[in-house]
Amino acid sequence: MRILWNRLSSALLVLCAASFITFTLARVIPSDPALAYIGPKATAADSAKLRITLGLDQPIPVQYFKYVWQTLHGNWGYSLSTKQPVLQEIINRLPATLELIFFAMSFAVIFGVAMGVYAAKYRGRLQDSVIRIVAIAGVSMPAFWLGLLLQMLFAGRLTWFPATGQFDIDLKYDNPISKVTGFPIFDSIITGNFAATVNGLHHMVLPALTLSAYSFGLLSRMARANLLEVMSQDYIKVARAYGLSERLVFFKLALRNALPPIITVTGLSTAYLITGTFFVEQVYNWPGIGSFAVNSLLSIDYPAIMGITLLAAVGYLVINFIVDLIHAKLDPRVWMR
Amino acid sequence: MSTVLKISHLEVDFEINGVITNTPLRGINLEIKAGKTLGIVGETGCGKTLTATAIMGLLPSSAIQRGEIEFGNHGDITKADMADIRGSEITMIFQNPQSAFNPIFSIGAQLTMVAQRRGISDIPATLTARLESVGLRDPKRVLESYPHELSGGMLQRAMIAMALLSSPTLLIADEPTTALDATIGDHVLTLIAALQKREGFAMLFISHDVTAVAKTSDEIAVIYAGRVVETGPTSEVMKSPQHPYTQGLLGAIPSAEKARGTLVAIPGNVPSVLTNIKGCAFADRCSLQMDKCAQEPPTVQIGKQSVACWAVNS
Amino acid sequence: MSEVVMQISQVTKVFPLRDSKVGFKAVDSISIDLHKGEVLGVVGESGSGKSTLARCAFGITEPTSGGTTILGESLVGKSRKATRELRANLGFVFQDPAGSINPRMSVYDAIAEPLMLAGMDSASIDTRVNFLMDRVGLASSQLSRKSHELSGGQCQRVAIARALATNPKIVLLDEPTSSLDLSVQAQILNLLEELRRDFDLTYFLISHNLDVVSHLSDRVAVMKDGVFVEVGTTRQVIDTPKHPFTRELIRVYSGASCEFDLDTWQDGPLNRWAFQNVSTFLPTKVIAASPEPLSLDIELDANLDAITIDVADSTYTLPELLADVDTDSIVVVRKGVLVYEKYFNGMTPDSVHLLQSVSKSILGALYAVMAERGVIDIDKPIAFYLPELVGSVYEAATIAQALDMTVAINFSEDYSDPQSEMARLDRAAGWRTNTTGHDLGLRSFLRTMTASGEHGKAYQYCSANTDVLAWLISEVTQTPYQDLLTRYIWQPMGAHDDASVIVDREGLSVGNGGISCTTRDLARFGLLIVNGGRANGEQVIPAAWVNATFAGASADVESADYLQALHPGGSYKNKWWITAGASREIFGVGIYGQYVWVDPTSETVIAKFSSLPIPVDGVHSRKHMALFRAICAQ
Repeated sequence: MRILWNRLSSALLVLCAASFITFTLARVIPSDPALAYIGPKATAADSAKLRITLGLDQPIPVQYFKYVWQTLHGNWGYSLSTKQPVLQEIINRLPATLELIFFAMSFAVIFGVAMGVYAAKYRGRLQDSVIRIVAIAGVSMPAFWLGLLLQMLFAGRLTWFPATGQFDIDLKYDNPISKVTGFPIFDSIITGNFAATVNGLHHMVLPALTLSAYSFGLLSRMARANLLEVMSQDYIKVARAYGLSERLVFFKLALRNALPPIITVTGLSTAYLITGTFFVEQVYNWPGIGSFAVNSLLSIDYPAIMGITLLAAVGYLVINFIVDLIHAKLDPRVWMR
Repeated sequence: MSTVLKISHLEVDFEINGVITNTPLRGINLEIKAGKTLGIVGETGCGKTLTATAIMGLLPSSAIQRGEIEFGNHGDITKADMADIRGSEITMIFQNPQSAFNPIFSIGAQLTMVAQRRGISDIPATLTARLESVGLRDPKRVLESYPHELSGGMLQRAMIAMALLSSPTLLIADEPTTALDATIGDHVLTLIAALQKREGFAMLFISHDVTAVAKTSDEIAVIYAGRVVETGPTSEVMKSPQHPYTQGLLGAIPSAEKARGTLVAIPGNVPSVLTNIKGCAFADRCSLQMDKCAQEPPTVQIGKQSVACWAVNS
Repeated sequence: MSEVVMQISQVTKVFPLRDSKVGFKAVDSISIDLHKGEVLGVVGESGSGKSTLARCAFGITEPTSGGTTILGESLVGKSRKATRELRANLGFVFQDPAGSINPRMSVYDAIAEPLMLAGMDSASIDTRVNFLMDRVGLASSQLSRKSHELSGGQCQRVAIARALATNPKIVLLDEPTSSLDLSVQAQILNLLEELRRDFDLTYFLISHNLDVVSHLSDRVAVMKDGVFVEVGTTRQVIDTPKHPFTRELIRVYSGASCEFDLDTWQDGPLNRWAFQNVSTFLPTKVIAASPEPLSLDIELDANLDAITIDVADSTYTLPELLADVDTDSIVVVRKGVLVYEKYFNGMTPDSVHLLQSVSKSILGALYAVMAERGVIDIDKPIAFYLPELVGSVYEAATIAQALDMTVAINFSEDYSDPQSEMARLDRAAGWRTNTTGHDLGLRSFLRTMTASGEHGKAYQYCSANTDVLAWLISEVTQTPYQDLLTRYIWQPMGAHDDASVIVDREGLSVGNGGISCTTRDLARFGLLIVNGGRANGEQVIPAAWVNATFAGASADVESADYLQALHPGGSYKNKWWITAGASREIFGVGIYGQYVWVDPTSETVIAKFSSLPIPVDGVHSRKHMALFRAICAQ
């Protein structure tokens, strides 16, 4: 229990630090947020007035505490470019991104680990070599490039999948999705909107595949390496010496020992996917946080940047916390540390 | 007295892509009598553990094995037979009890898996009784514990309990005390000896520690570079070692009685397992080296000892 | 003696512990001097603190308190430069040879590095490196190699050359050969001796290996739990070890057989292991602990370690005398407070130890309870309850006579004679190998016992009397002996741990000496007696019985010479020994040095286990009496 408490409190600390650093950085970059807000035609007087309205005349720590206070009360500020509340913008776009991450990660974990295990089992054979090459390709190819490549091949040439977007445009008129949770594919499933489900999944394939490539490669390599490492441990020799079946040795004893690091990597690469969506959403014109983030960055929309950073940090911490919990469940030694 | 295990002319090659890379075992002949202990002593890389691995039928697929391993009334045991014998009639305890147990399963879970494999009916009661019989005072706690929660001595006892679950005919102990403190190790050896008296299993005791082997074994086999160079009753071998290597090994044990700086220091090093050996492997470290040593020395009988050395032969 | 080159004074190192303010004392105020040219060997097991001591002494780790002077100058409180100059007198060789040489460095660089740091010019470095290579027996062709291209022995030679590069006076050898094969170890040990002689070096050697330490050292210090339990010249320590741990270590390294022998397990040295592990080679039954154990207040009395005891023409301190009588453990409870507690020979507060005949005294207490409850009438003949014994000595002998050892029986209690009735009893109980095929089990043995005269007249110690009583009570109550003990003694008195009792092949408890329990629980049993039979506010044993036991045997009973020789005026009653000393102590005693000592005057209880090499002798008994009385007098 104390460990949980420790983890939680340190997570909170990280959150404060992350938000403060981004906040300060956003303030010290050579760009006047007031100007950005009212546009290039504003007078100096307008700008000064706005600075007071926005509280920009106060010292940075004061501004920061104000910001924290307001953030905690759900006021994440207004986007400078869209003039909408940042929180609203995020809530509108988050489901699309989360669904994308969910599909990408599920694919990476299921196939990545399975491929890794398969490669470990057939170590040194042809299957192993093929999987390893695919894994290396997945890790080393930049997401935007892979995205373009897949787009050209499967959408452009073969036309198996749509090139961009989350749904076909006419879906809105033919089979509109009733909003329940805000997650479009999920909503279409629970409302029994079959056409929308199929259409959404069809659109999902290429971006999810692109986004998952890195994690897939990483996980299959990790799974393979870990399993091989575990298989060479003394306790596996002992299990064999005691005549335990090869199935039991491999799938129960060895795999369970290999899991904790795989889970850590899953957590880390999920966090990595959050930034990965920036490019993938851009390439596939996906209406999620990623494209919003890229636009905000380009226009130095600091309330939006702050909001997205905060969201990413929270996401990262939550994932890590879950990883820690699973770890502790799997490995009794964790409680010792 | 019946023979439990007889190994004749055991040789093991390792090959990669059809090319033999090395021959770590070049002629192991051993015999273990029922209820008795044979101690194998040798330095790093001499093939002690590999011999045990071969007996257990756990050699990797890159190994080519020649010679016979006859076990009890099973005759020469092939790999297929081994699956039934391994872990039931022949069991093994290992050097490092901390790594021999799987870190993420409780001791109870691991013993249960072995007990299930052996078809033991009342598992909890059997495990409790077994742990008590190896001197673990609180079996319930031990069963619930994870390996990192127990001391090395306790883990080694639990390992012994696991080895004896199936009432084996032969127990292979591979450096069972090397990772333990001397006094704890001594207690473990006494425990094994007491259990052996009570249950009558034969033991193959493998160690680099001549003293430990001498303490526990009825017979001793000295291995050098994959070959048995001397065997015989422990007391005889310790009293009058015949092979120059055995003599050197005993002379190298430091003690307060030996004058400082005068230990027998066999020059050079144990040959690497990759060395291609012709003739007597010990020849180039031996003070009695002669021309004949370029050929494989035959094994000759001197009293109750068997020795593979030309110098003794001539 | 030659000059002192290193003076280690009062070095203490405490490591902070989580959840503890006190911390873990790895080294506890150790002082020792190193003389020029000598080898001081420190031997100890893992966790003994020997490495920490060496690190503190050589300034690698900062000690919590105390310090070292090197050639008369202190290592602490110096400028960096002065410290470095002082450190140039020190050399280090560690266990893992490959690990102590930077894997990217060539042999040449590894040896030259300390010389470069000392500011030597390259030509001199060249000469020096070649000189050192030659001295440690390495060919100059190996200069360009890296550590992974060398064997373990060669690596260690490089490490030695490096340690000697700057001409140090004192070299720390920390397990220098522990990862080497025996034949290579011998080479290195010979080399170290040769270098020491040629360069007039002083070695501080630490190792877990007594063989290595005793071979190389002039003086040996045996370290355990942060202190030196014994220091002396190598010959003194090896030939006349004082501390049980030293003796144990010497035995382990002597190559004495670990062969377990059912005929000799009670004798030393096998009993040092066997008394703590009877359940591994003999069948036992559990005497269960209390669900609400009696808690003991602990206030350790440090003064006890300082008391001196005069016995057998020598004067001992308490720790010395405890060591002398092969103590395995001791617990002293004074006025209900635990004031002294020591464990040796691998014992812990959780370990159990065989009580031998102290088991009899526990049976005595059980009989008091049974008689009070009217389960038995102790004045009835034994065969009244066990008709099977009609025709044997127990046809006429009463329970009371068996309790007071006044049964006239043809029984020799000679522990050394394999033909004695005692040896036959052991064989019947399964305590020795039974090759005769007779006496398979206690019952059939007891039936064969015959009378030698009139009962109740004279004291005659006979273990069989107790076995017959253990059998009787379980027969009458139709309850196994261990369950009776659990219910009427062990749980009511608040035992903290399970105890056990050895049973024969028929499952009958060996009443004469088969109980094993923890030291603290034996002390709790003593506490029950000193408190007039009360524990946890309940009358567990009748007070009248306790008083009768303190009063001793009736004057009509003829005593025995061996009893009077040790305890003039003493007697035996209710399975307890009664002294005629001023404070009327009573005690239970078992062969090989097991005791529960109850002194009503000072309200002190002492529980003590030993593994003496021989079963009984006057010298050890006298030492024990003196030890107990000295403690009680505090």
